[in-house]
This record gives sequence, C-alpha cells and structure tokens, in this order.
Amino acid sequence: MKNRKSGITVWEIVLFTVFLAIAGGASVFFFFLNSSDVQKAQQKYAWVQNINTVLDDICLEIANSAQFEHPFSGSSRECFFRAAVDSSTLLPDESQEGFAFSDNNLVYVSRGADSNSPLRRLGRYENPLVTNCRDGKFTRLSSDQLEIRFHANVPGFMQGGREFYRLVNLRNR
Amino acid sequence: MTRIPDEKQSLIPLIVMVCFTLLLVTALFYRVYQADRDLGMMRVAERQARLASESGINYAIERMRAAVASSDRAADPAALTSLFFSENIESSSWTKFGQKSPAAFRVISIRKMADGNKNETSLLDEDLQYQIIAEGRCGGVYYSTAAVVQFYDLVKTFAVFASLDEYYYGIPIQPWVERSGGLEVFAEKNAELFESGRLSKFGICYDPLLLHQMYKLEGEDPFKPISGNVKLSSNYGRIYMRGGESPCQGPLYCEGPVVVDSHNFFGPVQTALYFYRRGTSRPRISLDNIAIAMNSSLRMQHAVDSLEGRNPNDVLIDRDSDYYRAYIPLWRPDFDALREISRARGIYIDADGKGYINNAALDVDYHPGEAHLYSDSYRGPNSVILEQDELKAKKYIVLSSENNFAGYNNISGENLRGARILFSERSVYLRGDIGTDLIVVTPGHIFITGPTNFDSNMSLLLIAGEGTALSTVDLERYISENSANDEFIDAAREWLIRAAIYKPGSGVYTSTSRPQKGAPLNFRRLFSGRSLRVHIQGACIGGNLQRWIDNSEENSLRIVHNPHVVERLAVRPISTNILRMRTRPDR
Repeated sequence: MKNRKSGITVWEIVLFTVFLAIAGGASVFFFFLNSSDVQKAQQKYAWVQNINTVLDDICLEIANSAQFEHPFSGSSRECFFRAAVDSSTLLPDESQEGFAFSDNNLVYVSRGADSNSPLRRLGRYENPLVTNCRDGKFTRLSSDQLEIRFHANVPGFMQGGREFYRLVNLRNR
Repeated sequence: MTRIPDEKQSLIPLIVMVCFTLLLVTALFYRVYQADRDLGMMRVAERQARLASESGINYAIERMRAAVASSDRAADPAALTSLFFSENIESSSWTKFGQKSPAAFRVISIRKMADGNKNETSLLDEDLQYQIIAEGRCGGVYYSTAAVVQFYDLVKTFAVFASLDEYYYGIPIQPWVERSGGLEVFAEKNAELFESGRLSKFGICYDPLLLHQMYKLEGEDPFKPISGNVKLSSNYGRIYMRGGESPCQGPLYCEGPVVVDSHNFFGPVQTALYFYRRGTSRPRISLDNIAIAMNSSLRMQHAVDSLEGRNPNDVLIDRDSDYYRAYIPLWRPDFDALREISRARGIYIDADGKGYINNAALDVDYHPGEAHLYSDSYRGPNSVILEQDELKAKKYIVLSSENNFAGYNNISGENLRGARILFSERSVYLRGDIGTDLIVVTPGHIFITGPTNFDSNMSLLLIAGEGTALSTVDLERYISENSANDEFIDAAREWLIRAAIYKPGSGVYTSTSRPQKGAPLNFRRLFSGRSLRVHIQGACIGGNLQRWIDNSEENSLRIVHNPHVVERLAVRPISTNILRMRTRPDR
C-alpha cells in the first residue's frame, strides 16, 4: 500500500513545537542571565567567597598562634594571642595580636608594649576585614578549640545576610 | 544498496538537530558542574596540603620515637644528634598521604636546637629540643609546617610517670557500668556524653563541668538512669577521697585528671588534663621553689567558681601551663630491638631457660620452672565483675642472690660476665643485689620477690611487657619453714627496691592465692596480721600502682625519686611530644 502525503505529519508538528519551546526557553534564559537578580546573586556569591577567604586566613593565623590568651573560657567579642616569632624557636612574640568585632566590623588589632593601634595590616587585607556584621563572638569551647561565629549582612541595598561559622583547633594552646 | 525511503529522508536532519541540542545542554550542565567542583576541590586541596604537611611532622616524630626506642643511642641523650635523625628521616622525595587523594608530604629538615637548659623550667630539658620542618602538597597547593619537638628523659624528669593515674582519679564510671550490666548498655543510655567526647569509655572526663558534677562533694548522680534501675542517690565524689599524703616523693605526671582533697604533694605536679581541688580543701606542695605545671587548672577553677562561689586562694599555683605542653605520650619499649641488643652484647635467655652471652652458651643455672598463679582481685575502670588474673602454666626463671638455692647467686658480677642487659623469653622472679648495672627485659612478667638492688650503687631498669608484680611466696615459705619470730617478720616485710620500673603494679601473688569465688582476694595482713611495705627508690613509668597500694600496708608505698637510677645503661626511657607548631602556605 502506498502512503498518501497530506500536508504536515504529526511528527513535524511535534518537532516544530519542541524547537519553538527550546527557542523560547533559550531567549528567556538569556534575558534571565542579563537580569539584575542574577547579577546580585553573583555579587553575593563573590561576597560570600571573599568573607570565606578572609576567615580562612584568620583561622590559620589563630591556629598558628604560639600562645592563645583571650578568651580563656566562655565567649568574647574579641580575641588576643601571641604569634610565633620568626625564628626556629617559634617562641611567642612580645606583642599581642587579635581580632575584634567593633562597630559592626571585624577588625585586626595589634597591641605592643607601647602602642595599641588598629593600623597594622593582616597580610594582604586592610581593616576592616569584614564589614556590616553583627552578633559576632569568639567562643572558647575547650582548651584547644575556638569557635568564631557572626552574622554578616549583604552590602548595598540587597536583602538578607548569612551566618558564618568556623571551628579553629589551636595547635599550641 | 538499500535505499532510504522518501518519507524517512526528511527526518534525518531533525534527528541530528535534536541530538545536537541534547548534547549541548548536557555539555553545559557538565561544565557548570565542573566549575563548581573545581572551586570546591581547590578548598579541599588547601585543607589536604595543610593536613599532609602536619602529618609529615607526626610521621617524623613517630620515626624519631622508633629510632630512639630501638637504638642504644638513647643511653646518652647527648648522642641524639641531628644527624642521627636526619639521615633516616629527611628526604627530597614525596611520601603519599591518604588513600585516594594526591596529597603527599616530605620531611625536609631536622635540627637540634641549642638553647641550653634553663633552670626555671625544671620539667623541661631545653637541650633535648629539635626543630622539624615538613612540607605538604596537594594539587598545586603547598604548605609547610615548622615544629619544635621536645624529648623527655622520663626517669630523670619524673619520679612517677602515669603510674598513679587511678590513685588520683579513681574509677568513676565503674559503679554505673557494673549496675547496668555492661559498658555497652551504660554507653547507650548516656550516648550524648560519649559521642560528644566529654567522657571516654575508660571513664576519663574531658569536660570541666562534667568533672565537677561527677566529683563534687554531696553531688547528685550526673548520669541518666539505667533502664530497670532507679537513678543512683549520689555521684562518684561521695565515695572518692584523696586526703593524706602522696606516695610520690618527686615530680609527678598524670595522664588523666587529678582530683584531690586536702592532699600533700612532695614535688611538682603535671597533668595532661584537669587538676580539680574539691570544695574548700587545701592541697599543698611540701617543697618550695618548684615550678608547677598544671594544664588548664584555672579553667577548671572558672567552672567551679561560677557554680559554688569563689574558692579561697592558697598555696597551689593555678595557671595554664604556658611552656609546658600538657600531654606526654608514654614510652613504649621495642622488645625486638632489645632482644637483638642482648643477643649481640648481653645475656639472652631462651624459652627453655638456657642462657647465652654474645651468642655463646652460658653455664649459669637460671632455675627454670613453671607455675599456675592467681592474683589479687581488683576492679578495672569499666569492670562489670571483680577481676582476677590467672596465669596458666607460667614459665619462669629465677634471678636471685639470696641463699634460696643453696647460696647460688646467678646475678653476681661474675655470673653476669659484665653484661649490661639481660633478656629473658620467660617471666622473671627477681630478688637480691645485682652485680652490675643491668636492664632486665622480658615480654612476660617480672615478679619481685624481696628487697632488690638495695645495698649496691648499681643502676637497674626493669622492663616487663606484661607488667611488674610482687610475689611473697618465697618470703612466706621462709617464714613458715624457719618459724621466724615477729622481729624478723617486721624487718622482712619491708621491701626496698632501687630501680626504675616500667609498668609497676601488675598485681600481687602469694602462696595463699586461689581462684576468687565471689569473695574478693586481698593480701593485706598477710604476715600474721601485718602487711607488706614497699619502698621504691628510682622511678615508675606507666602501669597502675593502685593494686600495690591496695595490697600493702596502708600509706606505706613510697616512690622516692632517684634521677640517676638508669645511668650507664644501654637503654633509657625517652618520650617525645610537640611543643610548638606553625603551618603556613608556601606562596
């Protein structure tokens, strides 16, 4: 028996609809990528990553401290420690370094015998290390564990914030 | 050639397009996934490189420990040079770390630090500090760790090293484990405590508040009730007492927490965990000018202060241990190495009780024998029933200078032929004065059967794999055979031992030993109402002295520190830990 051709087959209709859907979907997708929502999300992602990197370096600094001094127990808005001197003995330095939550910022502070200045820098970061954060505290869980916890608000006019949390194992408690 | 029908020819480009679109979408998803994973992996790699470099330090320490335990270099700590370690441990090739990760580490430098011993740190010998540098890598991330490692000459530093842990802490969960019928049941009921790491299954408490709840005077039961049982009416602190005087006369180290009432110490106290002074008690140290290292005792005090009001300040210095690192691992002898050393240049006694010196047969009678022994009864930290050691067909030799064997003395200087080490495959009964400086090693037990090495000035180190025990069988036999008078018994029940003992307190064996049948077996009042008195001049390492304390006259056990008791010997107990450490990325 011979098939008769009668205009458009069902197959062709289905495929046409599928491609129309894909084309429509793709254009919506590209509009979406261009939208301010996605840009905000990207900024937020970069912001979170930035804080995480800073926090990683803070944790490394605290974990390496030759002598951890404050908080001795319980929780506090600031922490102080003595870093190891740059010699093979790794003995604690004379000046204290630390981090503090003040005026909704997380800042690096150092205090020597003669000065108490927030001006020294922590590695490649400038003060304040993290801005716009609240409820920040350092909690000494045990003699060799310190917990850092704070809530940071997303900068700008964006809504919301995020809770950041780190558990530091002090190597030289 | 087959011809594709007309109506199908129009489908081919469509199918190609559909497949291509699907491929595109899949590739897009895969790319996004990969980018995400790469970011994640970078963080993981950083973490792994850090762990790898720190594990390089631990690897180096373990290798150093093994090198010291298996070499006679430890005889003179000054001979532990940088070169001795660096030759074996430093390397320029990478050692793989972990099973699946590409992380690796290498130890690049071990150097002795020459600071000179400081007088103010009495429990720390700055001459035995080493600096280790290790590198770790994972992917393209590199980290390096620098660490300062401290060696401890245990006998020289401590009179008692971890042998009085139970004496100063008790067995706080044993009554609860016994009532619940097993450790598993108890641990299940109080799973939260065990899982959070606040309490170990040996009852060691790592949490100051829980320690306080367990030990405070007149306290309530801190644990959850065991099913079927009502909650106990009190905590362990009601039955635990630690007043009186310390058996240790010299520096004391405890691996666990130390809980004391108005107790009198005779030397510095160092603990790897908490030092807890109960209530308003006043513990003292009856020696001045000595540094005290007590880890985190101040932290403990904070916890207690907030609960029951401020305690009065008194003679004990409560402070965090600054330069004293709390935990010192126990020394472990390397029996294979000791066997080799004694074969090469000492006396080796094989499983048949035959002696060899420098591999040549030795014509000395070591009185080999066999016995079936029952020990005293005791409770372990998590015993459900009363425990007793039964030693079936225990093969032994006897080393004795006393007149038990018709005056035959097999440990005289002449019979020892100048050997400094004696290794016996069988357990050893030991008594009397030894003719040379000697290390007695056995993988089995050493039974001390009377005053040992007291009238001479020789060094003696006892290393028994299964522990050092006391045996009064010989003395009891002598007393009954000679129907000795009270005066003799009074003199003979006082045993003076001049030695450093590894694993002391491994039970007491007597001629009246028998299987315990429900009733606990205790050997106090052994000699017609009078008990054994044991005085050790030297040091104790590891083990548990509680059983000797329980079976000898009350408050009679004394360990008087003699830091020179292992001098001139081929092996010396040396332990090692990390003092300070710093890990940084290599940029």
